[in-house]
Amino acid sequence: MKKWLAFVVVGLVAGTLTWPKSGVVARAAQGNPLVQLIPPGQKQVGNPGEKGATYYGLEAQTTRLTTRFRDGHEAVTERGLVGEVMTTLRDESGNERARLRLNRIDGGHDMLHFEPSGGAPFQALSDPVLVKPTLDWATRQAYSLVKDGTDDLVWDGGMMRRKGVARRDVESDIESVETVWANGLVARLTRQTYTRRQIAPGRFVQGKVLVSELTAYGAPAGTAVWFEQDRVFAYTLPGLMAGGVAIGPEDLKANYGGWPFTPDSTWLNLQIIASRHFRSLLATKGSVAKSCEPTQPSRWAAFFTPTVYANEAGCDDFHWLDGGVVRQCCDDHDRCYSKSGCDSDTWWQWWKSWSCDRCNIAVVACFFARGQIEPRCLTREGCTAG
Amino acid sequence: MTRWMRFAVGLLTFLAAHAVEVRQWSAWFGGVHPPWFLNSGRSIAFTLGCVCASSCMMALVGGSAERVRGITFAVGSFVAMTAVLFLQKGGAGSIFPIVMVVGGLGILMGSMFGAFIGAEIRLAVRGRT
Repeated sequence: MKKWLAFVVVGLVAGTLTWPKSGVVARAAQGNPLVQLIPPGQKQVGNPGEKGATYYGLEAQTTRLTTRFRDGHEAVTERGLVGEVMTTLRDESGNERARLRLNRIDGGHDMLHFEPSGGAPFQALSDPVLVKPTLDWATRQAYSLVKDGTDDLVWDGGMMRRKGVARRDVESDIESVETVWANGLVARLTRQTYTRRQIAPGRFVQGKVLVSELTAYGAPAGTAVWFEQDRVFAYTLPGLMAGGVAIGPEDLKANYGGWPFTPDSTWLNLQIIASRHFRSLLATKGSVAKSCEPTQPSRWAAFFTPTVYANEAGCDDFHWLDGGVVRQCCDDHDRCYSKSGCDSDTWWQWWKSWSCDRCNIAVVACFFARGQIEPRCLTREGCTAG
Repeated sequence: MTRWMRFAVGLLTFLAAHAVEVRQWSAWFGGVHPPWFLNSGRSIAFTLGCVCASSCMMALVGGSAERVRGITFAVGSFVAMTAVLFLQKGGAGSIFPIVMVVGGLGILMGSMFGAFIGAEIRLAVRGRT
């Protein structure tokens, strides 16, 4: 009897525990995150200070990155066919100091293998939340590990470093960077010092600069300069644009409140490569991406209450300028309109808000400022003090 | 010739030039963007050339007595330009005030230059009296 009773009790308990209850299903349903619906027309923008999808998309086209450091070390980082990254770091005598390999093991994780020439190798699993395995990241990581050691490593600011060791400013240790990209594009960045000069009317610059010289299949194709002290980015692309473009903090004030980040050596190389790439697409195809066609109001309705569309790529109703230096003014204006929610009803409503008017004033100022830049002044000996 | 006539001819000249551009947009003017005279270099040259030639003809036929000629003609073309800008498919773009100013200045220059040339030819033929 006791056996039977024990058997029944055990059976009941086991059945109770294993029986799928509606409560479990309900909890599972409650545990699933809700789909976040966005109202039509509402845009979601990322943090402008962070590198986004465009940056990583462009970076993914880089096949080799050669970085020379001030202390004579040189790192060559290459990307393989399936996205694996390999860095080889050598000292000023050419002796190999270390190798860092990143092997993709699934959709997002990478296995890191670090092999110092004079120490014990180790492997670690990267965290995709912390690490974007770019060539630049691998270069800086390999250099930091060689310089600071590999004991008691912790993740700090997206980099492995020894516990308790201060963050290394690798950017200031970099002397030159060569970025080999797709389509025969190669950007070579060096650090230089420019004398005081006028690159555009009223725009004087001087001091330490990062200069990126772009070549396409070996032929000169463009120059980009970041003036550290004045925080001005300027570039020129002979053959694809007349004159040059200079972007200072005041040009970004309406959209971002100034420079949302400080451009570094890798960014500058990618920026001039991207400018060349997108302008080439514009020159050959007439657009970079497929334009969005909004719903059309009736012609008479459009006449009396004209709709201002902010989503036509380039200079709306003035596409003759798309291949010129003011194209960026128009794109900035489109972004400004989009961000501020401007349309035909608000394009000039200063008595309510200046946000749309600021966009309009900024684009007019941009039109006047562009096209007056002297490209010769972007090279070191190109022009003298203004 | 009355002011209204010059205004009307200016208006019709722009509309005629625009009609040609719409019809031949792909073949003659590149055809990448919507047909509009400021969307391609060739159409800018064509439209302003038409304005200039028509204004020149107007000045030849019946010159204005005013010192600065071609303004009424330009106003007519400007009105037509504005109408086309807002009536075109999709409405005016996000920088339409700039487009109107630049387009208007181009039309004004073309019209005044044409009227000046026409008036000079007329004076040369009839003699400066």
